[in-house]
Amino acid sequence: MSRASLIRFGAIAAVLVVWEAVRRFNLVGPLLLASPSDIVAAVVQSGPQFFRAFELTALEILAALALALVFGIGVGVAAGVSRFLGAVSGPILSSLFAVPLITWYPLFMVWFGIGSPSKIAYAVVSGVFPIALNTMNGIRHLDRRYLVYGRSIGCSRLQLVFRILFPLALPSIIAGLRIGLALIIIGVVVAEMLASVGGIGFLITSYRNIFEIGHVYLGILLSLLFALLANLALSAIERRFTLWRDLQASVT
Amino acid sequence: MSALTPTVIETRKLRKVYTPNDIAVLALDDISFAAEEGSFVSLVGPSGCGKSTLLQILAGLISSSSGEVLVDGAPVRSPMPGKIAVVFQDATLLPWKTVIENVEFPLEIQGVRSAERRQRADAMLSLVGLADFGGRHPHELSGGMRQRVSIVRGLAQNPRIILMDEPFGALDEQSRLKMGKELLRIWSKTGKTIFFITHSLTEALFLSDVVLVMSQRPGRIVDVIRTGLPRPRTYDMVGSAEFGAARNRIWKLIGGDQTDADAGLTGL
Amino acid sequence: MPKPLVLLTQAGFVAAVFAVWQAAITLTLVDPTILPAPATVFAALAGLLRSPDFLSNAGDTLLRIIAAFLIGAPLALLTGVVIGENVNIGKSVSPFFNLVLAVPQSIFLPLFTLLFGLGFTEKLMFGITHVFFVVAVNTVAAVRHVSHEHVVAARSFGASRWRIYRSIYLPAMAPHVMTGLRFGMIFNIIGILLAEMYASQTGLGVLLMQWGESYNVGKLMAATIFISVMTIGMNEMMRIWEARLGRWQHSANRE
Repeated sequence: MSRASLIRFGAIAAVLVVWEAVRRFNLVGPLLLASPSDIVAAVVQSGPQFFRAFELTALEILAALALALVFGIGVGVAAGVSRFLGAVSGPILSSLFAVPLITWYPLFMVWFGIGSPSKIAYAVVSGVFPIALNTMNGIRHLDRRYLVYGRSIGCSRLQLVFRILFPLALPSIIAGLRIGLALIIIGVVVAEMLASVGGIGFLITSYRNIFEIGHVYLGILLSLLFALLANLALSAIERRFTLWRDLQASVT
Repeated sequence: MSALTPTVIETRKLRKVYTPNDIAVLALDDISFAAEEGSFVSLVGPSGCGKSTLLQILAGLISSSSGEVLVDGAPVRSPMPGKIAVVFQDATLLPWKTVIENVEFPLEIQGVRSAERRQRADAMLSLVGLADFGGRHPHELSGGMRQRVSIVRGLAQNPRIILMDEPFGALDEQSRLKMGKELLRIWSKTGKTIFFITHSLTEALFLSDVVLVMSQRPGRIVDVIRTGLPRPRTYDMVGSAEFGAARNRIWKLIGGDQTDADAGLTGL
Repeated sequence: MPKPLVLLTQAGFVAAVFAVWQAAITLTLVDPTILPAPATVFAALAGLLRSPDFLSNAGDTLLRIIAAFLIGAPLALLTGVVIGENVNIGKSVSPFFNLVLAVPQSIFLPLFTLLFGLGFTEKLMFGITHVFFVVAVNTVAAVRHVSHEHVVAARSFGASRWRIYRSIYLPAMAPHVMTGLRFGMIFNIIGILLAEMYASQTGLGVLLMQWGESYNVGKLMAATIFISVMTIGMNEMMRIWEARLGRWQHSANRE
């Protein structure tokens, strides 16, 4: 093991020890801080329950992601390719960004019920804006010369869009996806925290109401872990598909 | 023009009018010329004279206002990748594809089968000594190498004519000279008809059989010069008296010593 | 692109939304208890704006928003300048700040309720953290944006420290700081409203949740639209300031 990772492990271990100690010596009260051992106890106690909840939350997130991608990329491509549509929708999209979407969640509950559909609807709306905006910008700022070349070799419109435009815009799309995914994950969990019948957010709120702090921390930790893993996965995809852009930039 | 050598590309009274903001601007006026099969034809002209516009019309990318372009006798109204290949100033190699994938790409669009595509692409890369670079990405290559790939990418289409829009414009002087000789080598090996646009008089005279001289806007062909220099071309020809005379002639024609005011830049 | 045509289309789009909405009601495609007619919603809005109960709750929300901003923003500006100016502090603290920003802070709300209870303080603190990090990060970026050459030139002319701050730092930093403040305000509003929706006695968030649970759709829609319009208006106003402050600078990205 290299020296750097030894130091890193050591640091993490030290943090955990201090954390545990702070709780054990009652430097911070039990109603506030859960120690690492409390969290482990929560896992042992309610592991399966959290796992089931996690499954539900994950499903909602994936459904929202799929829909947000379809709508977001669809609108983004349309607004990017057509200058007129872009001029019309660009300002609208970026103005709507300021709206606190959470305030629409009660409406979504009325319209879609208290179950998964309202969470998915809310998360889709949360995630669609960054995806659409970034896709649109990615396409608008393309180097048009590639498209001229495509035409010169006889590409059809569809071929121009899928074989040339799309790969060129992919880095921007993924950047938008990164923001959108974070908003979707948190959107689902927060919606579940507010009013729900299941999912990680629901568990967080339920346990908070009965002051089971260890469980509360566990729930939040799981959500953060999920967001982190999703981000890492996205980075891996990004590296695989868009390596050329950074390298190109460094050459030109 | 010999009656026995077929004409690959011909234009008749091409005219192009742009109307930005409802004001008619004549970009090209009465362009008529023909290129024989296997010839190397250059077009020189000052900046802004409409060279690129002409190339886009020849390639079928934009339409003319009147007059026509014929390739092998058939009118050109849209891109004809099977007959016309275009090499742009910027190599425009698709950055996410490898070198060999780039050469295969036009073939893929044309519907050539996978095995044959690979074969032809390999042959093309070997032609310019880049066979070992097939798996690299464009950003790993130098400017000259990229341009070479761009040229053989066009060659791979097996066209009747290759149109080149100042392909060496982005290169430094040394690379330019080298690429010029390399292009001549490729040309003599493949026998393709080449239509080469440049603003460098030396380059045009050095490379071509025929030089078309274009005036400032509105672009007109003001002279057709047969270089008559023996092949293979060597650098010392550039210093010869005939070369100098031809270059001076062109220089005067494109208004070399005049000011913009004298040349009268405005359109209709 | 003719600007009038674009504006017309945008207005047309908004009008179309209302048209479809009204059509859905008139053609009884939707249940009016789920989606009331536009007229009903506007009537409800008018009623709300006259209702002392609504206005009092709105006032509470506004108070929290403003308080959180007035406390959080100056703190963040100061912190941002310190971090931006001091390379060493910057190097050790910046990763932490970026990490915080990468995680949407909404998820920590339950912890805030444990820490601060359910009252004014909790909401205030929640809002402050929302404001703080984004303003600080943008301020750091703003400081980094100050042209070092300008500063050196000014010093060579014998300008005092104060003078340099006022004439060079401030104009260069202003648009970026403004962007940070704008985002800070947006996140702040989201934070405050979320906290109210989660657990509170008063505030617009509470009303929204109550009306949602009791299916009081008319008032719910009215209030929701009202809040949305207000925040869009505030955002646009701040954007105009931002643009004005940055006009003299060469900016490549205009949307």
